[in-house]
Amino acid sequence: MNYEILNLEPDEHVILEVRKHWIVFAGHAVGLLFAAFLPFIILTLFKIFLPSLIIIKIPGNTSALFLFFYCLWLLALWISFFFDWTKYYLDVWYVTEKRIIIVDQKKIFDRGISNLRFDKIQDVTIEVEGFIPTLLNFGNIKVQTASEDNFDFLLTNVRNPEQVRKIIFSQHNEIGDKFVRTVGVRKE
Amino acid sequence: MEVNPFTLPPLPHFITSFFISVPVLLGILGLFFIGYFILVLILLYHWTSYGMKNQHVFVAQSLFLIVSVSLFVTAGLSLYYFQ
Repeated sequence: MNYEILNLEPDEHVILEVRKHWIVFAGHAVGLLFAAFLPFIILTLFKIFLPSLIIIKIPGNTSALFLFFYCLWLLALWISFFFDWTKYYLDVWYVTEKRIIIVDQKKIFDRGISNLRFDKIQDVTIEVEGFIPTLLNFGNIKVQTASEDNFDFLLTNVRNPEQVRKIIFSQHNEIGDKFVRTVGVRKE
Repeated sequence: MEVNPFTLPPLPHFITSFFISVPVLLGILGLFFIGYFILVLILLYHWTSYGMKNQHVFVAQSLFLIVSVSLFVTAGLSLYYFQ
């Protein structure tokens, strides 16, 4: 892995990458898989209910023509699948020893990067709601900040939110302890 | 010519020989390829710029390109069999 783009400090490393649960992406994938079979379904329905409509005189091999258009259809679905995957994969939180780097990939050309230092974190809340989220262990995670504008960061459908929360809190506490030690030494 | 007033006229047949021909289909394939190529460039830009040389991205990229090329070759071959 090459984290150059994140502009990490020399003594900073990525501890954890937080992404949405794969089930979110699988939902899109299943939709596209259904769309891949759609031409066959439509053709079958026409054959059953409106057979007269599909009698079209074509000068050539009809199967080859169907295959041609079907390949174009599959190509359109294939690239759409990878656009979805790219949005899913690039929407990520990087947790380092010092901060959380939040990459918000809303659309393919809509990308925002925010930094959240652990000393600015006020609270981390998780929310696992519903049967499937509980079963597959995913939910929403919200990080509340202590900044003046009280800006909150939310990542929905995160896999294993409890573990993410623990890691964020442990880093937060470590930073807090370091701060207390430093201030304590100065006072002494 | 007798016209039965109680039956609907038959649906017209499409005259497809005019627009479904190999040169026209090649044109469609060419236009589709140009559009696809632009989208591929967008994806590759995102993967190289933000993918951080991750192995998952490399696997996705390889799979994407292999399947895309295979489908384009199949589309091209289908035109050969169509004529």
